[in-house]
Amino acid sequence: MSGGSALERRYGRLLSCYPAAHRRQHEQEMLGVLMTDARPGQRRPGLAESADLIWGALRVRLRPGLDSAADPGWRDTLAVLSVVLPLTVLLVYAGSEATAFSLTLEPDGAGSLLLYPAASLAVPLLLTALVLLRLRRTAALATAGLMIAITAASLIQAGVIGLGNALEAAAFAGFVLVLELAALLASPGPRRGLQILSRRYRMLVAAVAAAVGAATGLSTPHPGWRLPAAALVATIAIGMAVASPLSRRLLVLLAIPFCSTTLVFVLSSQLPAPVSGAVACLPSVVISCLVIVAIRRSARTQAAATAKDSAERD
Amino acid sequence: MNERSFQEPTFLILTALAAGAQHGYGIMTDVAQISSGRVRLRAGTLYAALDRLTAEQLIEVDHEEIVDTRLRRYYRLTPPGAQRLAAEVERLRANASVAARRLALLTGTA
Repeated sequence: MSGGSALERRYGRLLSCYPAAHRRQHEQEMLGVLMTDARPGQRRPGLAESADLIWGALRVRLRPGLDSAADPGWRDTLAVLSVVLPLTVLLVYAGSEATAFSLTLEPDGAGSLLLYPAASLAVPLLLTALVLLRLRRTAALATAGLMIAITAASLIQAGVIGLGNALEAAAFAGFVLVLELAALLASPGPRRGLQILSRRYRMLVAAVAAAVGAATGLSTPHPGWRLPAAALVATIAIGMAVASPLSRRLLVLLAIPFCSTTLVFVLSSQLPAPVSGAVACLPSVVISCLVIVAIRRSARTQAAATAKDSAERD
Repeated sequence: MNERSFQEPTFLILTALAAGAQHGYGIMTDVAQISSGRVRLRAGTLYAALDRLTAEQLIEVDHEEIVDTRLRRYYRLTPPGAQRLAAEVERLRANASVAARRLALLTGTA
C-alpha cells in the first residue's frame, strides 16, 4: 500500500494549508473522505482537487475576520467590489496610458501610476476577464498567485532600488490584490456583483473610471490639469457618498488603494522615498482597519438579531 | 427577513442531511445522486460549507465513529437548519409555479 500512503502524505501536505484549529477538528475526517474518494492506484492528488483544497483553506482562513455572517449590505458591497475593482484599475491604467500615448509622451510620463508598464495592463485585464466570466474561484487563485509574484518581485526590486522605492511602487498593486482577494472570498462573488450592477450602472462605472484615467493621464504632464482632475474625482466621490449605502461603502473600499497611490504621487516630490512610501500607506492601513471593525460589528449585530429572531420563533 | 437564498451546493447538502445524519463521504455521494450527477462536491468545498453551516448553526455534529482506522463524523440538520431549508423550498416552489403558469400561457397563445 505504498501508493496509498504516498497519496495520503501528499493530501496531508495540502491540508497543512488549513489553519491549525481547523486541522485539529477536521484533518483526519477530510483525509478519510479524500482517501475513500481516491481512484484505486491513485498516487497524486488531481489538479482540480488540489485547487479545491487550497480554495477551501483560503476561505476558512479569511472567515474569522470577514465573517460570512456579516450583514447582507457588506456582503453585497464586497460582491460589487470584486467586479468594480479590477475594472476600475484596468480603465484608469488604460485611460492614462492612452492619454500619455496621444500626447506622444515618454511612457514614463504616466509612469507614477504604473508599476511594471507591460504587466500593469495585463494584470487588471486578466482579473477583469475572470470576474466578468464569473469565475470566482479561478479569479481568487489568480489573485493569490499574483500577490506572491508581486511580493517576490518587490523583494528583488528592494535590493536594487531600495526598500522605500520598492514599497512606493508595490503599495498600489498590493492593496488592490489584497482587497480583491478579500472581496472574492468574503462575498457571494462576481455573479452576485454583476446582478446588483444592472447594465446601466455597469456603463456608468466604466465611463467614470475611464474619465478618471484620462484626467490623471493628462494631469501628470500638465500641472494645469491637476485641479480639474481633482475636481472630477471629488465630484464622483460626493456622488457616490450620497447615492446609496452600497455606493458609500464602495467609495470607502475603493479609497484604500487609490488614496495610497495619490499620496505617493503628491508626496514623492517632497519627501525622501522611504518616508513618503510609509506615509502614503498609512491612510490605507487605517481605512482597512476601520472597515474590518465595521464589518465585524455588523456581523455581531446581525448574529444578535438572528439569535433574537430565532428565540422569538421558539 | 433579509435571508439570502442558498447557493446550490449548500441547498443540496442540507437536502442530503434532511434524510438523516450522514458523514462527509456520504453527503458527497448523496449530493451527486440527488442532482443526478450534475453537482459533484469536492472535499475542500464540502468542508468549507460544513464549517460555515456549523458556524451558522444550521447543522451540528451528530456522532463520530471509527471505520478502518478512519474517523467518520456524522452531521445532522438542526431545527433552524430545517426551517431555513423549508423556507427555501417554499420560495423555489413559488417561483417555479409562477414560471410554469406563464409558460403554459405562452404556449397556449402561441
